[in-house]
Amino acid sequence: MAKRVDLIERSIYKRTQSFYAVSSWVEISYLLGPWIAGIAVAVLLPVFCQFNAYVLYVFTIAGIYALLAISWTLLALLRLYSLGHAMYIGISGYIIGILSVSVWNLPFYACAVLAIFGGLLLLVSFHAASLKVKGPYFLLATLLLPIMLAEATYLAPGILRAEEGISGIPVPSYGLVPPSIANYYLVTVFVILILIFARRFINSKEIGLIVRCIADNEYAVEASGLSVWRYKILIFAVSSAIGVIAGILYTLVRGYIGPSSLSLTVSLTPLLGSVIGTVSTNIAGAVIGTYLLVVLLEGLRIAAIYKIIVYAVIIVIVVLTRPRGLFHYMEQFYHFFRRVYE
Amino acid sequence: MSDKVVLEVRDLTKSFGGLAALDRVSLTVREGEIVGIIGPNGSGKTTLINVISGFLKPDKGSVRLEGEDILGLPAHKVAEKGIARTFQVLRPFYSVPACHNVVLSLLSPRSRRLKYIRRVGLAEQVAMDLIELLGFDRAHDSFRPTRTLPPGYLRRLDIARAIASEPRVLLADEPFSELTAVEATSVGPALLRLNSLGMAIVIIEHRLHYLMGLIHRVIVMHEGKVIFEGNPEDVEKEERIRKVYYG
Repeated sequence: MAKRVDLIERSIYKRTQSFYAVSSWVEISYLLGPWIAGIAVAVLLPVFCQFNAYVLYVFTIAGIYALLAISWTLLALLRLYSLGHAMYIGISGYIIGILSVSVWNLPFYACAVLAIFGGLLLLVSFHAASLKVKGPYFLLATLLLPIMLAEATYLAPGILRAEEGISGIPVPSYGLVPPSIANYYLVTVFVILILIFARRFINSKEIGLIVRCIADNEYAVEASGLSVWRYKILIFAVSSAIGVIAGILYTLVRGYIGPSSLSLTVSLTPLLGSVIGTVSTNIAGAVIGTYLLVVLLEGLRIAAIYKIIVYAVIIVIVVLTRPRGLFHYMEQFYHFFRRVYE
Repeated sequence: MSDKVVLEVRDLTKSFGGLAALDRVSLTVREGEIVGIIGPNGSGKTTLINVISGFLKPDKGSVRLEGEDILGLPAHKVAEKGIARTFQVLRPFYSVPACHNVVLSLLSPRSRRLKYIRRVGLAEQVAMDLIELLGFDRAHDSFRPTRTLPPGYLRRLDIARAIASEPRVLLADEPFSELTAVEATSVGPALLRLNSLGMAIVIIEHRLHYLMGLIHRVIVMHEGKVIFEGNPEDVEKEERIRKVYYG
């Protein structure tokens, strides 16, 4: 009997018009395979690397940058491109530093809760103020913020400790997550997974639709009777919340916050990760791109002086050869899986 | 058409720097009426719509919708009270399929209240009904990418978006511009159909031959002032208007 070869992707799409009504094990594993494999690799990484603290540290930092990349992508949904995501780390880090070391001696969890509320309040009020500016002007406004904060540390050397930074931030001594790098790593992975699934859930619903329309033409949204301001603030709040969580984890893992955490490199990493991963606002793509970038850069640690050159070369290569982002090509490659009918 | 006044504009004044875009403009729109506003470029027609719909703040004057003062409200509040508008420059929501342009408007508080919309799924059905009313092919056009639609469709899609919240007054800003002759003939009947459902419509237009057959009353503006108000048939006879248009 003659054999017939067909793309699995096409057969699923043809039969169900993108509704995933799946009838066979081949198709179920085709659809869920990448997710299960990705989650398994991420969760089992500590076992694979035999709890090597250095490897886990690198992947935890990469995960924190991935969280920042998700936060960056959410703002990019509104076509607002931020160059100041180090601000998110700086604000939450300094709030924790002030509360737990330099002024008071509060326990870590209390600091974290206060950092979330305080950070949200500060960041959302800043974004509300920057709503009037768009495009390159928003870019400049965000670029200046971390620089301003870094300068401000010199104005209050007693509290913010100038270039020295605040070190010795205590780790949580009790609670659900005992302080070990493997646990921190798993926390970042779980937060990222929750956000990826939350985004998939929200994508087709109301808010996703309204936000895409605001990005296209906010005057028409306003004329349709929806408050653009409200939805923008909502997106800012969610984005800031994710950024603040990333900042808390960052401070916790490093035990230190200082002006170096506010540098342009910190702001650029999530942005470049998103660009390498995907041109659209796909969270999974941004996460994969950021992990690749951070781990690759850590591998090039020996050549630390050339880091910025390597950065530039990577971006140029990706933009020239894979202009739609790596995630898109990974997806296309995966869609080439065929099956053979007897 | 009844005698009940829906929209009442009094002594509206707006100037940009030294230029008076609107100079004590007053007009009334009655329930179920179609009013045309014409005038040469720069006579303040679009500024008038922008002020009424809340996108611009006037210097002086009042705007009343069914007796309620709506001046100074932000644009989305004005829309919620019942004044919808379309835009002269076509900028639809390109990143969503055609019918979702209308779904967006159905998600506003006013539409939810009037049409009992709870979920996006229901809003899609209502949106398809609406674009079908405006001459779309329900099965074929509803989920077409908005980018692939020709200008005539985009114009009607913008009108569908505006009327989705069942407004009291529709302000249509040049609904015939950029359209081919064939496309333009599809917009007129669509507006008449909406009017037959009881909606008051204000149309700004340059292409007078499409406009004059539709409207009950015409207002001519020039340099920010209303210079004529009356029957469409009388416009041609007025010497002042000839002078404004032809010099």
